[in-house]
Amino acid sequence: MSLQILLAASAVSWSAFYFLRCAYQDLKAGSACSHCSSGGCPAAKRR
Amino acid sequence: MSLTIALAGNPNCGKTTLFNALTGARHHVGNWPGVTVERRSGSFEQDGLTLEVVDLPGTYSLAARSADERVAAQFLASPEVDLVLNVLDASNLERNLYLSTQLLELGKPVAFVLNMVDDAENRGVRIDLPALEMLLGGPVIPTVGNREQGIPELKALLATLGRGESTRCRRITVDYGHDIEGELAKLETEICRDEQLEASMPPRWLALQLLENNADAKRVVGESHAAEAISQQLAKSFAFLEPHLGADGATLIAERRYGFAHGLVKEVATAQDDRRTPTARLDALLTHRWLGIPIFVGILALVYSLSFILGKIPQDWIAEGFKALSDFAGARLPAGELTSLLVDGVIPGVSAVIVFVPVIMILMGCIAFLEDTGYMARAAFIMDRLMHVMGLHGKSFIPLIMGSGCNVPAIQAARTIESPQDRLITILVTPLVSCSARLQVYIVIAGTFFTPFKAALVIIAMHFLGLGLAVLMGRMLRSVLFSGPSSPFVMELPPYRLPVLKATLIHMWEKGSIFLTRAGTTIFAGATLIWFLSRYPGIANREWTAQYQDQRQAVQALKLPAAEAEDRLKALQLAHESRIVNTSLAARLGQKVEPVLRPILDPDHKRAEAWKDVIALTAGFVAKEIVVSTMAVIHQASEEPKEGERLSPLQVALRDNSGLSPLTALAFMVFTLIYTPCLGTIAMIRREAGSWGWAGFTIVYGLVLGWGLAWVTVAAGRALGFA
Repeated sequence: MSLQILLAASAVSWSAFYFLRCAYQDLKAGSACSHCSSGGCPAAKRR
Repeated sequence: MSLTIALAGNPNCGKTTLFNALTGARHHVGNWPGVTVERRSGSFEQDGLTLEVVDLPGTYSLAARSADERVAAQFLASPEVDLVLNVLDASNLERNLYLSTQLLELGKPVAFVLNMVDDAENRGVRIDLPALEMLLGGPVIPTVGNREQGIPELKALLATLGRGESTRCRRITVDYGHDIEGELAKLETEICRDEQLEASMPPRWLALQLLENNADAKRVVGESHAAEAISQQLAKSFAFLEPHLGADGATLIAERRYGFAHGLVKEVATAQDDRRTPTARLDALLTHRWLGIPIFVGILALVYSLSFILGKIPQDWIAEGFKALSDFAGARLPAGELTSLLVDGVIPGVSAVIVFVPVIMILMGCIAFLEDTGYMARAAFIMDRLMHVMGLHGKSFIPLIMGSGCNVPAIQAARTIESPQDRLITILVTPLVSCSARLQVYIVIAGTFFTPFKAALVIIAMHFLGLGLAVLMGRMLRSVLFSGPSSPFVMELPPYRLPVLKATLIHMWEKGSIFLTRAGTTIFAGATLIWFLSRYPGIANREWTAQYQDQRQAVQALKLPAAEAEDRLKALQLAHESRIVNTSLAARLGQKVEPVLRPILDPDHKRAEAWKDVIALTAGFVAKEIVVSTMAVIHQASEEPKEGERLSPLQVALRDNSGLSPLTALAFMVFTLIYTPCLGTIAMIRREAGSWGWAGFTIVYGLVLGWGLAWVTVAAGRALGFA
């Protein structure tokens, strides 16, 4: 039971960290949108 | 002081006649191509200024093939030329403009002579000269060379340009589309490594010639110290473009230039005698003033319906796979937080997005197919006319079309707009265009509350509503905050062509892989956080868990028939989970905010579940894809559809338990379309507009407009008798 709580808590913590990091990158650089992950950002390619 | 003017134009467009009229020379002229085979110069004086005019051999393109064409091409690119005077045959405008597209790339001022306007008029061709001048970005003088009509005006103009007193020359270039433009930018970067090479000719022009596989350009590059880096980049560009766009660089660039010429002629000339070609015949129908838009809507309806029908097959397989995974995890893992996270959070959340990937892929494949045929350029052309009517910049339509994929690159694409005001307006209205992430919300909601045909119509209507609002909002911003006319541009109309299957498949895969990647990262993380918020603190309440276990044991002790026992156990499980969800952190937060959205989501005050919509919409601030996954987690989407039903577990949960009606579902979609851009889009607005103020403005007007229009939807629907 405690292992389940530990793993669930890790997943939740990672998710919270992931969102905070993305929000920070988005707002700081305005470029880490990750919307076009595979093909690359078409607008960025233009520059 | 003197000025060197190069006379450039197609063979037999009257250059030498003009040359003679300007300089008083008596060179031989004739009504057939190829009369002039070498450069000749003469001069005249105007307003105390000596102007040297160089008559060049006629050429259809600067990609010189014959010796006389090479004379023209080399001289035009040389630093000797101060001004290019492009002679256009008014009765063959479209064919003549191909060369103009190249001359505009040379980085020199270009003025235009529209020669033989009498011939054109006799053939019933009417040309809007002010429009032609605006779209070409240079002054246009109409002439009849053999009667010396327009020559005094032309001389006066050349003198004005020579003194640098004219501001009528603007820098115009053909937009080759984001794939080719991307490769051009990379080549330009490599070319600029060599300063001498950069100074010898405009890097963009050299890059274009390299992509066209021009031998002279390759020779010039070969002498540069950056030759290796440029060649490597060129090889990469060829390797990228051909499979992506299904043709070699030269063909693609030529198509875009013809598209520019065709689009320009369509804008400025009437009664052009070009109805014999297949492209012209198709254009007569597809870009028809009145039929164009209904045909566009019809094609979109067909594309959406086809996507839903075909997408349903793999969608069912994926749903089956996730159900098996969920059953397996529920049966094999011991009850606890991690099992709940997987079974109630991650699996429904991620699967709610992934099941729609086939639909999105087919849809995007169809749109890529239409793009490759050349039809989407016609659609843009039809809508561009509407934009002009609304007083908006025609170029704004490109970002708006791109916005239907993702708003973030669309906002960056507004950089192509020259006027800062037009650009800012475009940036501010682009988030109103429905992106593919919002499309998922429509697919889920419309698919639940409407029949498949009506659902397709509702989804198309959402896209048109977004586009219409962007246009209206742009118009409003222009009249309230900004003033002045918008600058003109040409909407390219490339020739129709049969798409390459491989290119379409690549586009499909790229679009699908974006969603799959996001499902593994953002959606996964979002579903995990929403699970936490919607399950705590209830899931940790040992007393509730013990009560639930006791109730289960009591049912099992009754020794009921298997089906009845299963039904009772399911009801107990649902009651237990509902108790946890309805007392969770998310419920508390949602119930606090819910009164604000009650008039649109719960106008009769009957929906206890309305707070769940509030949480889903709040999660959408981060990314719109999370709206669907949040709904799946929070609505406990685990019920299977009945036999023969074409619904996902989330759709079953929404239909049976959410309390949404078709009318409030529609209001939910309208609000989702408008209410606020995602975080990535907000950040991009701040960067491109250069201020947090504009980003904040976009959020505020989106919320106000979204709430207002959703409320109007509900009020109008109720007034018309819909529940």
